Amino acid sequence: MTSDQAMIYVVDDDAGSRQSVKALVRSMGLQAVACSSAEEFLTELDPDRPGCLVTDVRMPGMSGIELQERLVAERISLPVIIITAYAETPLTVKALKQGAVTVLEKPCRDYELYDSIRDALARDADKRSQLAKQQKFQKALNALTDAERAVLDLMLEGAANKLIARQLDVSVRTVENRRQKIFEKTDSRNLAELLRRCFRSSLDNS
Amino acid sequence: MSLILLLSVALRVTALTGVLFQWFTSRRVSAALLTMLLVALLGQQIFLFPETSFLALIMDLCVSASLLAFVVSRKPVSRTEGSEGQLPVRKSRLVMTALGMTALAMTGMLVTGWQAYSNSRAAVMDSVAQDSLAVCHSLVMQAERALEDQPPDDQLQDRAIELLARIWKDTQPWHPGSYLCVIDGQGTLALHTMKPEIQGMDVSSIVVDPHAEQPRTISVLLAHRANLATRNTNLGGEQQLCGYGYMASINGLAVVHVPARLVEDRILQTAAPWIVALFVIGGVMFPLSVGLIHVVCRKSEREALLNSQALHRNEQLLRDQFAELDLLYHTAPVGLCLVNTDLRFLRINEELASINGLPVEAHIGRTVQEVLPDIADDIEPIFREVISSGRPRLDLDVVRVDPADPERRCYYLASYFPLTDDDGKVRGIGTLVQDITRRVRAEEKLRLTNFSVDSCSTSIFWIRQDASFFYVNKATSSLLGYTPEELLDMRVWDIDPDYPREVWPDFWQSIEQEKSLNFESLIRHKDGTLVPVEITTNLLEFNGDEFVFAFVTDITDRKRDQRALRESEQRWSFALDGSRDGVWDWNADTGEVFFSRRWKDMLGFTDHEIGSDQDEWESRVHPHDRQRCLNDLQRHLAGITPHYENEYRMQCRDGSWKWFLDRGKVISRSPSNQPLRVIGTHTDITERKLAEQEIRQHRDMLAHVTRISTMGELVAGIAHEVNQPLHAIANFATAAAIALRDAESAAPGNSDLVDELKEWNQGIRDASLRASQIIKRLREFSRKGTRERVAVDINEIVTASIELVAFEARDCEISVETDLASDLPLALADRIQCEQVMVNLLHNACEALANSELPRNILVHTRRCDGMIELQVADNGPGIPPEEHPRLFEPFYTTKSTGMGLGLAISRTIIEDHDGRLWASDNHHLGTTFHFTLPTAVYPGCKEALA
Repeated sequence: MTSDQAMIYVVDDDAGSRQSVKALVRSMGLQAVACSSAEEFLTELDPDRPGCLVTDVRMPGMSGIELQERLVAERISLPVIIITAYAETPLTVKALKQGAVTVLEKPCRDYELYDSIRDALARDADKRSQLAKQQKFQKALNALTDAERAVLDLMLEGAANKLIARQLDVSVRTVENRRQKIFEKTDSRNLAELLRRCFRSSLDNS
Repeated sequence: MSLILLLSVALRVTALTGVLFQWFTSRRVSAALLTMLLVALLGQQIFLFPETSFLALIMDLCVSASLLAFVVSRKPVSRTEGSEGQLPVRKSRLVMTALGMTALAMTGMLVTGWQAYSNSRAAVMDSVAQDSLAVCHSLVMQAERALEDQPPDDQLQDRAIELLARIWKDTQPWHPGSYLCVIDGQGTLALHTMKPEIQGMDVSSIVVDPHAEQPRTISVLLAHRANLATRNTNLGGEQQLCGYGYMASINGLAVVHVPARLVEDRILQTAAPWIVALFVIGGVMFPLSVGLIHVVCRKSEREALLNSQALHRNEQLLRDQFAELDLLYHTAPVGLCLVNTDLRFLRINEELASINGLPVEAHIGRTVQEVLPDIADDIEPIFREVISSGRPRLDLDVVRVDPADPERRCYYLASYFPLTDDDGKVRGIGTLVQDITRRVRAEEKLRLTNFSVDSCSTSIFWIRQDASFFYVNKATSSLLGYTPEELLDMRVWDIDPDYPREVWPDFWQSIEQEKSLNFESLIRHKDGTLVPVEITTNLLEFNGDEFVFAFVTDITDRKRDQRALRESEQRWSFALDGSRDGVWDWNADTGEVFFSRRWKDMLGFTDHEIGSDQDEWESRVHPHDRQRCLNDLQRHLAGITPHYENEYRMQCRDGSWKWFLDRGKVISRSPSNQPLRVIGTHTDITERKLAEQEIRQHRDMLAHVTRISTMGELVAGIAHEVNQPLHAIANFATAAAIALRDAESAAPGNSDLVDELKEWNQGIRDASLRASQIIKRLREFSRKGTRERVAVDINEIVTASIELVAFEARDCEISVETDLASDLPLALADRIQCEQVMVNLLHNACEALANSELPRNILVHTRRCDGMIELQVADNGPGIPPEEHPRLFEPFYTTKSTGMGLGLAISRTIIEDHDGRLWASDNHHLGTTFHFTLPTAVYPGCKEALA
């Protein structure tokens, strides 16, 4: 079992439901962990591992929605599938607002849950690759020298080379050199790509 | 000539006709005179001028024409024109008249002048001719004398002629232009001093006097030896004046000639100024004088006309005035009459005639005694006195029995005036009579009124605005002990201590508004005792002053009686009034019922609107209640029940229904035990009934809502529970399906079994799905109840909820206290649902306390908490064991022997549905507190409120 393999967490206080979902996941050829409460799930959770969470709403202790809130609060980007005995509109809206992949009503139809899990995993994988890219870019940014960093900051403000040179009191040539360096280090093909990445990274950081 | 004469005569005849016509129409003297003048002129024309000269005829024609013009232009001045008050100004006529007169005068002058002139001229000519003859004689005489001495011979003629010529020469020619001719006996011109060349000419045939009847020639003269003074024409054709003198010595004629032309010239020279003067006088002075006369005549005529008009006007004025006076006399509202000294009526007007009761005609000419026998004896002496003294008697009263009604008397005021002639002698008496019956009667009435007021036994006061007494009657003195004179010096506050000086203006104001007041008061007798009185006041305005007219009646006795009566009644009515109950009193014998005023009042009727029939009650009882009432009543009357008591509805006057508690009892029965009299009371219990009804309705509604939500919660619980296994089934089935698919692809073959398994598996899935749908539909059905979110006052809900459990709490001897925040905002909630939760919590609390020890308390507390409203229901019961806390709100969990265990579950669902929370906590000392929160209603337009 490598940690790269997806792990499906099933949280439900009802043993039957729990086992049945676990069985379904297993039948899909995926690994599953069944927890009888949210608290139990939190001890089992491995945030670095791809996967998704399938949780009931009404449970003793922390409810499914509260659990989802907790994950959002802790910035754990695990996709969440909510399964509830009866889907009330306010609850559904709240869950979806908090980023749930879907809200399903018990009992699920045919491949509803199956499809949702697949969808969630795909979304998780996508998110993780995005994250990896971000992290790589961030690392590249961190690798920039202070001088290059200053040039980059001014570029982000939209200043032309001449203006940057004047502001930093260096020659245009130097600025052009530093720009070249920035492009190389961040593995960006052009200015637009560089800027897009920077903005996205700053968005994620904020 | 004769034509002109005819024309002239015709003109004069026409003028005469016109004047005659005028004379006949106007009969004026001037016209007659003019006629006479014209007749005279016509006569003159006809008789005196048959052979006048042409010029004279022309003149005459002119005179005739102007006469006609004058007559035609002359028109008589008619009196009617003048009477119009304005004199016609006829200038053209005036001018025409003046012109005519002028022409007439001129013509007259001319004719007269001419006649005078021509007569004078003829005379002068004749005289000159005679002179010539005289001169001729003298010549002849001188010559004869001279020739006496001479012998008659042949030369004698020559010497005579020579002598004559010499004498003529010596003689200063007496007339310029005169000459001497001598004609001898043969008629030959022997000498011509002027024209000697024609001497020797035979002139015997010359006619010497052409104007004589038998014209004589020279030869005739010679033959007759005649002398002649004449006028003739000489051989030269000139007129000359001649004197022919016979000279015997030569048997010839000596002729002295004077040319007529020269004489005429001299006459003309002499007469011319006179003629001019005549013209001037005739042409200017005459018209002027005529004009003047005319103007003067006109003026006087006009004055006369004006005078006549003025006279006419004055006459009219006088007539009008007389008519007015006459009208006044006849229609005057006072009686007027005139009697002569014999006391006979001369005139009398309608008013007095009607007073006397006889027509006007019946008075005239008759004596006073005849007309008015009843009072004649009284008034005749007055008449006689006035006649004898000549002084008027004024304003004498005359009393007479009313002719129309012998029972009544009439009063008159009569004045008598003497009517005197110019000598001051009384010739009649004018009488003026006024009927004052009405006034006298009014005075009598007034006296009667005064008398009755004065001697009336009720005290009467007239009070001025300053509270002084204007008048008091006699009765006041017996009431107050003061004499009327004393009272007139007093003020209201001196006798009535209730109206001191300070409040008097207020009292006056109130009476000015009310006009009439009736009240009781106490007034002070002179001896100091207070007398109870009833005062009736009226505000009266008299002659611009306002008075209070007060009747004061001593009510001492009445007061005493009243007090006694009132005291006894008061006790009874006080009891009734105090209970606010109506009373009825039924006489079973007659069926009549006495309903008290209050009884009727409760139904909205006034006292007189409801009679005393039993039906008045029965008909107003609600049809649904009527039979029951009658049954109950019957049971009591029959003696089955000890008393009658019932609650029923009755219809009020306005159609609404009121609830009454009716209690009655038979208070007397006949010996045969038949009820005789039943008395009962009527209590209005509408409010209580309505309150009960309201609470009942409220409870019913709450129960209904609770049932609905219980069912919803029940179904929701079942659904939740059943959905879990269904979910498991579905998932297992899906897992099995996937496994089957994988197994099939991994190891094909055995396909029949796999297909069959797949089919079964599918069956499982379908069945689980159908089951879940059934449950879903059931849930949807049970959740149909709508809820509304409005702004509600939580404290109000708390109060209402406590009311709903009040009975239960009272039964269990539980005191429910509240601690409600006064500054609580409104909550956004469904009122019924909130009450449901509150009632549920209170009910739980009551049940929890039911078996605990006293004192049993429930405290409901409201407060604000983090933008929400928090309600707490705390009890001091045994409390809930900690291990049971987590499961408190689960459906079907209960600690009680009865109940489904859904109450708290429902409550939580409701509160969570309101975005609030419901939880329980242990009290420090004893018991449990349940809390729940509700969102506040935020105004206005807040999103939350709208959601």
